[in-house]
Amino acid sequence: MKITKRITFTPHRCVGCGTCRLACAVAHSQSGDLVACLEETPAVEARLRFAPPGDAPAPDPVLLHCRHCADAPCVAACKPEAMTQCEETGLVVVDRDACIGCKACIKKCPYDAVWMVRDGEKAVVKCDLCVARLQEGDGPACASSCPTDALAFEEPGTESEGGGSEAAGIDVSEEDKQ
Amino acid sequence: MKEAKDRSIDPASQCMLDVTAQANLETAWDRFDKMQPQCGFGQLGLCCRHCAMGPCRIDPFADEEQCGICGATADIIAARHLARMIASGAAAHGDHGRGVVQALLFTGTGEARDYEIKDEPKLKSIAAELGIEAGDRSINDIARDVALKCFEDFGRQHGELNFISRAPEALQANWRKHGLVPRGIDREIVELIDRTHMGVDNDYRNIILHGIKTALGDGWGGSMIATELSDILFKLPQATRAACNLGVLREDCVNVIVHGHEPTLSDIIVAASSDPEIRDACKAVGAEGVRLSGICCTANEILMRHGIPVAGNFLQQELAIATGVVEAMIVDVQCIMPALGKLTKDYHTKLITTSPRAKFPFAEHIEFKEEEAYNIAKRILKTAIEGFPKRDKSRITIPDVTSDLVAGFTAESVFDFLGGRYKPSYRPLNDAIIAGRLRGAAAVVGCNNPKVTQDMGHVQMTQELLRNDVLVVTTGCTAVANAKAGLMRPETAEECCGEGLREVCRAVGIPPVLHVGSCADISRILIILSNIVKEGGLGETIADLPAAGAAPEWMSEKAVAIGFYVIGSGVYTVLGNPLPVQGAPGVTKFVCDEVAEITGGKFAFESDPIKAAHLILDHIDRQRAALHLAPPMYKQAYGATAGGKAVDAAG
Repeated sequence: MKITKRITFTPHRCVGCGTCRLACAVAHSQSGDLVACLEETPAVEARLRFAPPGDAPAPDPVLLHCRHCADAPCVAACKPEAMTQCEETGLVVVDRDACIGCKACIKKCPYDAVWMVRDGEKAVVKCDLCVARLQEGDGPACASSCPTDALAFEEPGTESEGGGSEAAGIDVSEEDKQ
Repeated sequence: MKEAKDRSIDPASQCMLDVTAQANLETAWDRFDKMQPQCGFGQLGLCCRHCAMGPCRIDPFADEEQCGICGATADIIAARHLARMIASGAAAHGDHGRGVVQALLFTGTGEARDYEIKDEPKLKSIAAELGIEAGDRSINDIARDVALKCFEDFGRQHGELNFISRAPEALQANWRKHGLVPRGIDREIVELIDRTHMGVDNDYRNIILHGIKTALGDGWGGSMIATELSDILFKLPQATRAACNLGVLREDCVNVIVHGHEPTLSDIIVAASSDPEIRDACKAVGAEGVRLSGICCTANEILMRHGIPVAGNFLQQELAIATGVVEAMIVDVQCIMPALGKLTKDYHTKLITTSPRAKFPFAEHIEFKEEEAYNIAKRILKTAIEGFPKRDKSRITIPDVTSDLVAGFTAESVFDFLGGRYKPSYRPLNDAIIAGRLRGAAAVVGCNNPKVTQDMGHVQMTQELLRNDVLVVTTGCTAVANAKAGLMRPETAEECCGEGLREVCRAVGIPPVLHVGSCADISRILIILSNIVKEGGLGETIADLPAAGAAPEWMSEKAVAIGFYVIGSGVYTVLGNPLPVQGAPGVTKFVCDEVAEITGGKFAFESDPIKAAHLILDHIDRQRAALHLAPPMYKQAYGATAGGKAVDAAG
């Protein structure tokens, strides 16, 4: 089943607290615990980040995260086919083991939403839309944790004014579970 | 929403949580749920708001190690914040102590005519300890001098606190060696705040060591003065039977709940509640009388001195209002939820604030002054009585739940019980530990916290310790939790203790969980531990004892100050909720490990109360081994060996 909902970001609601980054990192850890995951190997990391300030900093933060594009340039750029678009869900996913760290996807991403992993390994990391959580009926960790509803999980084009949304019972294929 | 049974193990709380849910009233548990997820930076201690370059936060998942704008690392940020928690907690206890000194002074000078010295022997004993000549001077003169001498402890700039000399000599020497003896209670608090200002102390160990010094000024200063002078003014508590939990509220009476911490007001309210004028006023509105009960540590103060029933502990303050029968909740300071104001508006209940330093939204303020104490107490009670006819009879739910308890043990009365009135001594207690009849002793103390199912942390840990022959002393909201669970009756010894502890309790007729008072009365535990050391046979200092401390459900900054004066005095202490330092590896290692090299005590963090009890038992066993004590006399439920033989851990 295609997952059509996406993470949406309402900049003026964002207070820059970074709770989304912590929730994202914990959701992608082995332990699932904020304290325990600080010690994990490979290093746990968040899959969304604040854009570094430009020459004239915007009044509101800019949050970089994968849009899971329909015709994803990162997928097209990936020679080893580590970055793929799942036929069933439509999500763009990266196979860390197959990734050779050539950075072609990083260069092609129009949203600066892909980057190298923290611990020096030659591989990239990006948002997987929390497929494991979706299957449990939860929303992506970042949107679920956002205290100001700046981040929401909803159908693109139907953005409510900061209305967070829950993804319930979305069927996700086995291969997308991470 | 969680079910009531997941929020509290107390049937009275569960009953009232159903009531609040049906009435669509919000409690701390609901607000806790709404607050999820709580800020991870705050939880890890990685947020700093100390200057206007910030706020800064350290992202633990950043590509490279981050620091604040000033360059403060995670360790510096966490240490500074922790230090401010200690300062706040020590300040709260300090002001509590100061209030009691003030009341004693005014009693001595005759300005507070409604108070009198209720415990002359204790006054004389403290006066002698403080070097004050008693001679043939009047009691009030001595009281005035004791008060003035204690005031010196607050503002002293050089030297040492008076009661430091009560600690075992080896402990005093160690404190002096490391510069940890507090000079003045207020002075150390001020210096701690100073050090955590931007750009002052940036060595996290140095910050925390001064935090320990400040905390010692609480335990051996502010809190200890509060305890000792309260005993003088309001009498030394005696073991007394009483009842507790929300079932003590009465439909036919004007229910007045005193909530907060200081005994200066609550003790006079007790006296005023039986005044003929008040009785008549009750009759005039059709009430049988005033039913006085307490919540939080005020409850403990009047419970142990007057046998006044306890309505509940910290998380029951809102639930008490929701019974619909509380005419007034009289509050002073500390642990009073600001939510009470709005909640009482939904009922006929009056929230009456009394301290000039603690005013609340939607409350009526009737300021308490020592000089007019009795009249103010009567005025407060009359305000409560006026509310009785306004009760909405369709909204009354009093849970039919009460427990009996014995409360009111002190460092002094432990002598009476364990040594007998004719041979008062700690010897039998020490001998019981040395022989292995008791495996050790533990202080289980602290608050409630909606992060833990109410009372579960306290009760499960206490039960596990009792099963393993550990004598438990308790204060504050833990004491109330254990009382509600029925663990503070002498009969409890027969029901859930190991064989050795059961024998001791049977022989001297005490419950296996000794209630030693309010949270400020944890100073009594310091004295008890010092007395055990002085009695001999169990090492030279508190850190040598087969003893430990725990706060399974702590939440307040006072608990942080207590934790640090306890580890600063050499006690291994297990906290249910971790301190907010775990994003700072250096600070975590220091408070959970390295600090033991300096003070002999350290923290451990363990949220599972049974595992936490096992950490305590493991520590006690290590201490026993180091002292070359006999193994526990009887088979133990967890670990250890009895009579030299290995025991099935499953017990």
